Amino acid sequence: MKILRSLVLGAVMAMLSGCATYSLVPANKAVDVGNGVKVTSEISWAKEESPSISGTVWTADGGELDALIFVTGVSEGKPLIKFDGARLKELRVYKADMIPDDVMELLTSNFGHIGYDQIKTANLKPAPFGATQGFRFDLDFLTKEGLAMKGEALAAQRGKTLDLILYMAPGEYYYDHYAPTVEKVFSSVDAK
Amino acid sequence: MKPRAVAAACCLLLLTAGQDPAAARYIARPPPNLLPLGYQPPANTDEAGLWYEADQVEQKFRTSPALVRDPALNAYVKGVVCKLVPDRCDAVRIYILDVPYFNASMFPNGAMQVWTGLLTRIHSEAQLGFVLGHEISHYTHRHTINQWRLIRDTSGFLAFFTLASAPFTMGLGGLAASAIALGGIQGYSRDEEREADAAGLELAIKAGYDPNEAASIWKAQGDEEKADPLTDKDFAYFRTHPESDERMQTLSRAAAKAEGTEPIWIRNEEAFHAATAPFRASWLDANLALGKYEASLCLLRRLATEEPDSAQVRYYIGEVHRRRNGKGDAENAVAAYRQAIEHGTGVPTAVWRGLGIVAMKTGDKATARDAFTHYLAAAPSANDRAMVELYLSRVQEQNP
Repeated sequence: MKILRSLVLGAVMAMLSGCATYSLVPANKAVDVGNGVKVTSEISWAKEESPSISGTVWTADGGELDALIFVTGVSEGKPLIKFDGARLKELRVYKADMIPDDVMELLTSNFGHIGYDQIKTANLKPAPFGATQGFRFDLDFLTKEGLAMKGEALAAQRGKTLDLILYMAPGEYYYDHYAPTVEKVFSSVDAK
Repeated sequence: MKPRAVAAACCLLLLTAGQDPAAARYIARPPPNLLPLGYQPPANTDEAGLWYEADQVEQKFRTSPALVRDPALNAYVKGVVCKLVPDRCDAVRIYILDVPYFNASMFPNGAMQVWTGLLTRIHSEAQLGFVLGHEISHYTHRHTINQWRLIRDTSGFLAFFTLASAPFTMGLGGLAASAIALGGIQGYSRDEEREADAAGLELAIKAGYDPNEAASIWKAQGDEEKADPLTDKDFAYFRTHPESDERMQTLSRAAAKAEGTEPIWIRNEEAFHAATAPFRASWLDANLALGKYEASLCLLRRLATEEPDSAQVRYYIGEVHRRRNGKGDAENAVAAYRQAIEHGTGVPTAVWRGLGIVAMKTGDKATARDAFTHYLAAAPSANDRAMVELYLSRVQEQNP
């Protein structure tokens, strides 16, 4: 009876928490974010799986307010977002012969399928991704609820896969608040 | 007789009536229940409740980041409304929203949303006049309250305002999902759409707009629907509106009846282009961002026919091919970019960038070097300068 009560209590707790599971990402410690990419942050973060983007999310104040997303090891034929299989054919997918412009357009296109609107990109430029030649760009968009968001992406194509780190937050207050911290995370990339 | 049959019979009468010497000689007899000028529904009615809901949506329009606030464009569109219905000029309130799909819709309280995807796809003030006249007719004929009473006891009512305010509540993906929920009311709605077609054409003709322009909207839209292999049949506009082919044929017949009854029909293509030209590049960018490349190509090829001197249109044709990146697209992109460049004036600087990228990817290093160099010279402060310089260094390294 005690076991049953514990199971019920556990189920209720999971429902109350929205079924999201978080774990602590410690500060000042190199953390493997997939595909041999490690980053270090000067602050600690809460880690969760993204409901819509094919990657891991770190957040400081909650996923709606700031999100540092790691989409690593994207291989040929895969999109950047999670999408229903039946509608997968509507999505643009990654191709190994893409150039940075293509990757930027891939992200824009995939975000449109999530329901983000008026997605605009700018400032595409080369940038180091660890020891690899990568690139970065800025983006602005509106969420489904009409909230104006800002974002910044750092990416690299290594071998036949794509690694992308994306920071996005509401344009008012939150983006600027964590942007310097994220910049240091970008600089900390160690890619093997 | 079933409601749908009644409506169809009414529609037929409207399309064939000819007793009034002015507008009605062309198309329609005014129905008996037109919304009175200055009408406000009594407070204790379901219609007042509906207007209240519409007021809430309209408030979202006013504060939406998608609202196009440019005074000149708003004044131009509003001016067309006032030509169509001078006595309701103040009652009809226009909200232009930056959404790349083809749509406009009218609310029972007099608010109308016009999406930029509609303005991208039409080419004359006469066409705009017909579309706005169509939507105003929904308002004057009180179609919304009829529809509301039909669906309020079904699950469809949940989608009623959700769809209308979709750009503010759900994004474009949610819009398509909501459209499916609206499927249950499509039969009734289509009859009212036919009635609004007839009444809208009547308003446009009264304003002197060329009736032949109405049918060509639906021909173009039908072509675009057929070109898109993916989703548009699920989109609300097409589930709730008569088939484009049917509308085109009906309106062509109506236009033929009106042909020659006016000494000079107005099209005002130049005025329409002048009003929309400052925004068209961003509207076409948004169209391409949808990733519906076949539909985009259909639209752009039509625009190229209508605007044979437009370098901008040819640049975007090149962009579609470059982004689709399928069989033959590289060659077609290069051809379109070169056509844009050959026009000499009004060539978007980005055409050189696009040409350079395609040439780089296909191994045509000489063309890539030339195009990137041209781009950097033409846009010395471009925000992607460093990236293009990197591309340029790559093609130079490969072929020193």
